[in-house]
Amino acid sequence: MAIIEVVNVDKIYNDSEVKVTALSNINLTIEKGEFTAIVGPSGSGKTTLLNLLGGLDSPTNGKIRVGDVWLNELKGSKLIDFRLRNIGFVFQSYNLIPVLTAGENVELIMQLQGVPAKLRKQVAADMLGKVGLADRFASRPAKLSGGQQQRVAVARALASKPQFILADEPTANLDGKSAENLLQIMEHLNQTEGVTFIFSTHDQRVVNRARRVILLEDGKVKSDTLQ
Amino acid sequence: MLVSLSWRNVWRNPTRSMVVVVAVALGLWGGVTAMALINGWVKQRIADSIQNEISHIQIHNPDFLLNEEVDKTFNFDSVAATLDSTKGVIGFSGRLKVFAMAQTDRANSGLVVLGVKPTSERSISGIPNKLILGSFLEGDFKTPSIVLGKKAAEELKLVNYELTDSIAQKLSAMEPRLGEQIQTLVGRRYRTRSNLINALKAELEPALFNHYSETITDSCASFRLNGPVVLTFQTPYGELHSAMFRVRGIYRTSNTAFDARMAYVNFDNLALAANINPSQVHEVAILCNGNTDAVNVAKTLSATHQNLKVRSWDEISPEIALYAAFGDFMGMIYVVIILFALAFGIINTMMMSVLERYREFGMLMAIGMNRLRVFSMIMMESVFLTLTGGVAGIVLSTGFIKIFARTGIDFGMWAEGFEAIGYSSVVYPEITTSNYVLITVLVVATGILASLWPARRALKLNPMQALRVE
Amino acid sequence: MAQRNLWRNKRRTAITISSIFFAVLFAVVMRSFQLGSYSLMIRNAIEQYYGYIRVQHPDFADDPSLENTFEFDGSLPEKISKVPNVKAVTARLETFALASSVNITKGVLVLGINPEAEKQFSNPEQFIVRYTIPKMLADSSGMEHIFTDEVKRILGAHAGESFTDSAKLARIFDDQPVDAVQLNQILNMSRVNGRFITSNDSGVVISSRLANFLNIQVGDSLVMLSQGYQGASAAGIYPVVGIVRIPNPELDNRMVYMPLQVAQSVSNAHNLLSYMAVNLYDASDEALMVTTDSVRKVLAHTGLDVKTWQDLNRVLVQQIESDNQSGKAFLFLLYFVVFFGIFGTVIMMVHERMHEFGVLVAVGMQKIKLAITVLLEMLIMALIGVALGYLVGLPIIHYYHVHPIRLTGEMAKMMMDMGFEPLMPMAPFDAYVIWQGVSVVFMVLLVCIYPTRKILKLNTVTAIKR
Repeated sequence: MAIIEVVNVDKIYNDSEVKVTALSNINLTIEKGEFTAIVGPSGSGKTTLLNLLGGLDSPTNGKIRVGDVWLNELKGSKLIDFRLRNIGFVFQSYNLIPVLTAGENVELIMQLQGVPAKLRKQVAADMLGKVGLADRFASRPAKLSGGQQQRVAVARALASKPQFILADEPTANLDGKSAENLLQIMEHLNQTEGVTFIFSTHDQRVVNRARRVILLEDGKVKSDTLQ
Repeated sequence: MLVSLSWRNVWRNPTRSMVVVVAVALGLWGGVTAMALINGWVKQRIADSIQNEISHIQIHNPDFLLNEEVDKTFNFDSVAATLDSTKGVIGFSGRLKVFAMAQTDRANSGLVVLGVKPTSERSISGIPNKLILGSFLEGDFKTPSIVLGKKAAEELKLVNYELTDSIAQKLSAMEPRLGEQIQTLVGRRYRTRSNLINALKAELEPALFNHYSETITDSCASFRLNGPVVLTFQTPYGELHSAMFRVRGIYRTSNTAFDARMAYVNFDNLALAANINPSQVHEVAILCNGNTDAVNVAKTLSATHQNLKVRSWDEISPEIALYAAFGDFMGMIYVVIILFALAFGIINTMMMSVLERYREFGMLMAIGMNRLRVFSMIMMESVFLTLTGGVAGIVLSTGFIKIFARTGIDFGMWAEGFEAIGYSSVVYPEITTSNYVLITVLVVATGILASLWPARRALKLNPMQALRVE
Repeated sequence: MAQRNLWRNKRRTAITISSIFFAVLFAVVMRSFQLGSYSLMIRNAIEQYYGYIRVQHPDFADDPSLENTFEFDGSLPEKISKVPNVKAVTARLETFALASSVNITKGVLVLGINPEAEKQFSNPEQFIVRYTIPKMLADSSGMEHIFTDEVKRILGAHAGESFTDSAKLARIFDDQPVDAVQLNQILNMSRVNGRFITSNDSGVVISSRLANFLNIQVGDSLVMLSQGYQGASAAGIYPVVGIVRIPNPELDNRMVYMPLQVAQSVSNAHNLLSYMAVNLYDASDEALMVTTDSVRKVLAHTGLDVKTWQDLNRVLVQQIESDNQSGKAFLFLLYFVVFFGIFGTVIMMVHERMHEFGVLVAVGMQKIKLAITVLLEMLIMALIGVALGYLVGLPIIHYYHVHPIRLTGEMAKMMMDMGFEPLMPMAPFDAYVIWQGVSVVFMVLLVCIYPTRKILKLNTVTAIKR
């Protein structure tokens, strides 16, 4: 069964006089283990779609399923809790808390989940190892490069054991080398551990690595191809 | 770790936080010191009141309390017997108490004369230890002795002013020109203060006179011991009796009103002079182990002696218990006002701190930090911030109080004003642990309240908009 | 431009203004209350009895006995009252006496007065007692069955208390209303037929607490024993023609008014006076000094001492001063705290706007001008805060100035014990109100030193770099 199901979803913003249709009639499913990029020009609705998939926003029409749960059935703190345990996030920037170390940043999400301290530490160290930053456990974000910070974000997302990880322009602020590095790690995780990644991006390097590309234009799915 | 996170967040902008911490620390230091001063003041008043004036328990013939009529006495021995065997009683004294008009060759004044037995009185009253001159009814003399308060002695003009050599020397040491100019006055004795003042005015240059006349007069004052005083009082049979006494002791407390009124003579002398049966007393004053003990002892005594009126200190002077509560309350009010004023600054600081982190909050809410947690985090930050200042302020004041608790702070320039209502001009600041606890609670409460608005603001953030980076 | 800047961060501006508002409001109310109490204390002690200025024998201050009295020159009061600002002059002979009634004695202060002059001076007639609650209810009414237990209890608690009018008596039932019938009955049985003394009286008027203590009512007699001039003892019996209730509890405990001639003859002090007391229209410190000097000039040849109450009554002066200073100290602390709050805010604001400042200076704005703009912003906030504080504070103090809060219960008892009337009066608008505003402005100027320095030392390049 697909882990994500989007059914007849519209997103319309009714801002005083102006009516903006960000998404219209979106239907798609995403399976476990996918490495998928959602692409399109600015204003095509890809960020909106990602927000909907992440439960940060709700559709005007239609519904979205994640796992066994229809997101529209969850309200308030239940929705937040669901996100905590089921969806991982890597943002373009501001992923980390500057006053916590890399390890603590990873631990943070587990503490929110209620994981006991000793276990947290272990898993955090483990996850940092997976992204190649085992030796940077005790470093604060200020001491890490942009690429390293993004890797810590991935480690954190992993640590929460989500059903999939949403990455919104994760490479936009990175230079070529760091971007490649990051993507390599993500691909590796996807192939060896089956972590599902869904990107929203206009970075060609991401598109190149994606196995499925969903092209959005004017709020509609223009194409949905496997490569 | 969320706790640790909150703590670290406080110090993200050290300057900004330090300003608040310093403000809270200094504000609290001021408030706590004010509290300690009020506390110490009031406590001293209560202690002095009990020690020198009212004792812990007083027993009277109930009729005596109506109008203090001389014939309303009661038998001492039965009460004494009970008291000897009552636990918690440190001492007791049977007294006669009459109102008398006192006359000296130069003045007259009204006094309340207590006829006491010196040894018993010593066991309950601090007055025998507050003598500045003479002794407390010791020795056997043909003319009976009377012990007066300094203020009464002054009012009865039992004061002489003499510029002795030693005083002159001390003055010279202070100010050489002074020594020169008062040379002609050394060794002279003056009957009244104004005589001395006039003499000084004539000898000293105006500047020196204005500055030193008070100190000189005060240091020249000496009391006449053995001066005669005629007391006139009413006997139980309604007639007026007079008898002569000699002043053989002068005491001083920090309550000028008391000093002006209360005089002590030997029990037997008074009984004789006022024609009262010596087995009778007007009043039995009792000192107990402690203030609360006293109340209990009074209750038991009351039950045993149902025909007499037994009152504990809080019944005799309900005001002094009130002073304590009032003082405490006023102190707390001051602290609350200071904290309230501080709250504005804290709110501003917290608000700014929260707003500059809006992206971070957006991120946290997105990855799954629920509203309650976000709220708690901000609240903890505010509490840590306030509490840091609070602890610093408390430590500062504790230090300050400790230093002055021993020596006391002297408000000498207002001495007369204070002493007129019974307060010493030297204040020993004091704070109890329960005060500290309450203050800490208030500090934490301030931190919590100050966090409400910023936290509300943070919760209104929309993660999506917070993370938007176009 | 300053205005627009303030609007930009409404929250911060609002919080800063609020802190100033609170401080000013509190300060105005607290000072008003303090100064109001001093006024009341002075009014009660000085206006009612002591007098703002006293004319006496030079040695009287140290030795207020009959030995230091002086010959009464009848023309002096007239001369003195011609001095501007003098409201009333009264001549008195004051002695200490032992008063007794049946089996009870008490020391009292005997004031030999000229009733006419005294009426001008302190208007004692306003304090004539018209109702006294009888001590023994059963004895005096025989109608106790019409009173409820509650009412009886209240009457018992106030037994022997005197009131100058029925409204004041009715106040004892504030917490426990009583019906008209009972109240009427109470008024009837409490009625007192007193009056003040006249120049030809052989009777005396005594104060209410004294009357209560000695168990004397109008019509009873008072026995007094005093020491007369040059040692002669004086005793006499005097009918009590009226009772007054003096607001100051300490004075109310022991006053006896009698005609001057009677006092003089009883004390064997013929035509002698203890002092003349002068009351003024304007009792402020400056007016007091000026008037005292003028009175001194008038009496220059008499050899009499002219002194102000502040010279003579050190106790009251010190009590007022100590409270005054401690109040100021607390306010200083309060402003200090607010100062820090504003300081913190200003630091943050400057930091936030560094970039903007850099741009402005780079574009050509003079640093001084920029600094002044910031200063203006702060001042506007301060002025708004102060204005709001005044807006709320002034009506409050005005209201309570006209209707002072009257304390009851325990608090009232405590204040009366200390010799103060249980009122919480507020002083009217005066210089102290202005001082709050001035202090705030001063404080804000102090705070502005930081941003001004930062702006003047601005390095354009570093400021623009984010």
